[in-house]
Amino acid sequence: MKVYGKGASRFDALKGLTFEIAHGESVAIVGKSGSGKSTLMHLLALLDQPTSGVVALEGDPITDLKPKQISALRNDTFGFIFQQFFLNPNQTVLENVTLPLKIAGVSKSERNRRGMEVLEQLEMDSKAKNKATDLSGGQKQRVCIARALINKPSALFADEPTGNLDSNTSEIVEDILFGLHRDHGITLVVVTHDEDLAARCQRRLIMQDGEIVREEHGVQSTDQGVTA
Amino acid sequence: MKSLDVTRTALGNTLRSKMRTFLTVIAIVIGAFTLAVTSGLAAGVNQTIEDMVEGYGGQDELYVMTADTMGQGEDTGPGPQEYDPDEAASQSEFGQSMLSDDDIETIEGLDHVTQVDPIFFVSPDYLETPDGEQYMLNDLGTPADAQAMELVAGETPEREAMEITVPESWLAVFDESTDDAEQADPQTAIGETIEVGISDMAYEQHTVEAEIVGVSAPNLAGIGGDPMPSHAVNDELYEIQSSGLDVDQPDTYVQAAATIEDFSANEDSVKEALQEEGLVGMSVEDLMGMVQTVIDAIAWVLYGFAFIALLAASFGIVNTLLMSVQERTREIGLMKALGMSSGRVFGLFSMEAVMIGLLGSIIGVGGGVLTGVVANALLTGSGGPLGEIGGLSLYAVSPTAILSITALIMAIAFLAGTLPAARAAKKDPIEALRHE
Repeated sequence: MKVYGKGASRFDALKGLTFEIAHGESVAIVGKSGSGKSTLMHLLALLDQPTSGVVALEGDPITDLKPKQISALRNDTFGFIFQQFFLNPNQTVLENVTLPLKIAGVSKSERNRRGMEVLEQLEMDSKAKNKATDLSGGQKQRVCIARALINKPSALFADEPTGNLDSNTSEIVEDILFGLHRDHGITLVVVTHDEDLAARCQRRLIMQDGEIVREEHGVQSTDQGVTA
Repeated sequence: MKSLDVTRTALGNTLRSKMRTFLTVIAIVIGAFTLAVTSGLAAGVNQTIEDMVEGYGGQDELYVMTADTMGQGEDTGPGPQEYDPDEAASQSEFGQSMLSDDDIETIEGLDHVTQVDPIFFVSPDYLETPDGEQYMLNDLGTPADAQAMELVAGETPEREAMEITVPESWLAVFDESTDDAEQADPQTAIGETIEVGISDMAYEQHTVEAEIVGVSAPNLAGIGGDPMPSHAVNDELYEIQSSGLDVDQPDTYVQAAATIEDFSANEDSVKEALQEEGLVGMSVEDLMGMVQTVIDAIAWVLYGFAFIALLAASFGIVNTLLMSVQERTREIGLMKALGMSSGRVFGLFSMEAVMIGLLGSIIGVGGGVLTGVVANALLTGSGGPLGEIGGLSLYAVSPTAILSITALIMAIAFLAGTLPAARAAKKDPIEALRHE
């Protein structure tokens, strides 16, 4: 459960959710704005603590951990992709991509080597020296994915990854995400109200007013006929 | 995040908005500059004084005055004093109390005192060179100061010999090959015999002969700036000066120089003994120490101003960084979301403050040292307005001072940075990422 505010302004963003996400699963959290889907993802991604209840990773409740350990855990095991990209406009693509490694304390040469590796994987290596502002929306999101992948995470959290992209670019980004999920076994947690994107996930949690109202299983065929 | 990366990132961030950093740095530069110039000035002048004291070499003299002169006697203070004929006779025309022959005898009678030379002032009229030229001569050096004199050539006059030294600036008189005293060869003067003309109390002129044995350079205290007679020459001149009238005038002296055996061991005991006799003895070091105290006091006042400037500058840092934290809320949120601990965020922002401080102190201290060195060269170098004063150095570069100024400024900057840095560290990644 997650409660914001106190007394009269008390707002229960999430109420009584219990579920598990398995290793290598792809899960979409779907719902209208205000349904609590972002809050749920923040809890899952260890960015936030529940007001009551327990979030456990690999069976260990994270409430027992110190903030520093939680930070290290996020840095080590998670990758984040945001709708607004959150790229640092003053830095080069390579510097943006290698930020998680810098935080982890990896040496500069090692950072740059792994940064170029992951940029190659996403076919962005030619832009490595460009400033982040010089890129198109799709390119920016690919840089974000590269940043999320650089620490070889076991889980990727994507908050509306296609929200700022046109449909063609969205499709490319989706293909990349599901390709990673399929080929590398990365757990994928996507918050979206894009039905096409949600449909490509193995499981969908449909949220309304802080509660999971419905759960759907299985990859659904979409209009484009893509299957994962 | 590694410390090296924190430093590098912090430096990069401070250089991001150059104008803002520049303006913040200026305030620090002013403080750092003042500190660097002041400390260098104090160090330079104090070093000059120390060099002088050291130049006195085996100094073994105490300058003795009456305690009244130093404001330490019993019968001083405002209000009428009782008339005492003896006391009154021993006052100079400036109302200063003087040493009498009795006092001199008293000093001679003290333990460890080997020699007492009363210091009296002689006012000669002229100096005549071997070829008969006469030059104005108003002041002579005091023989008791002779040990402190800096010599360019030759040696100090022997106590009992009729000898004298002349200052460098007189050399052109003796070296016929040049009119420029700086070009003249000091050796041409040595060995020459000159005559000093002096009037007695009846305004009748007499002369005294003396041989030039040395050439002096004036030092910071002015010693060596005038011809320096030996004790014998000086005594004879004084004899002439106070003769001529058929009146018996008691001899009085402003000061006397007492030579002490084994000076460092007996200095304090002699001073105490003098104190009991209503006299005060001061060594050259004591006299110079008084000057140093004044210089240090002035320096501390200037340090105070510099510190106020730095205090003002530190608020500039707080302001700049608070704005920076506000602007970079998202960036902070992202870094925290990607696993940067609050401690490291704090470290990053306080390091930015330290970088601003470092930048300011490098520019300020660098500028201060450069200004000090150049100004010193211009002022005290040959041809400068203070170039005549030998051995004067207005500025000394002290690595300890430079390092401690830099460290102090970085510490102030760090303290100023703690408030914005704590604010950055407290940011909630989710709130920060939502921030528009």
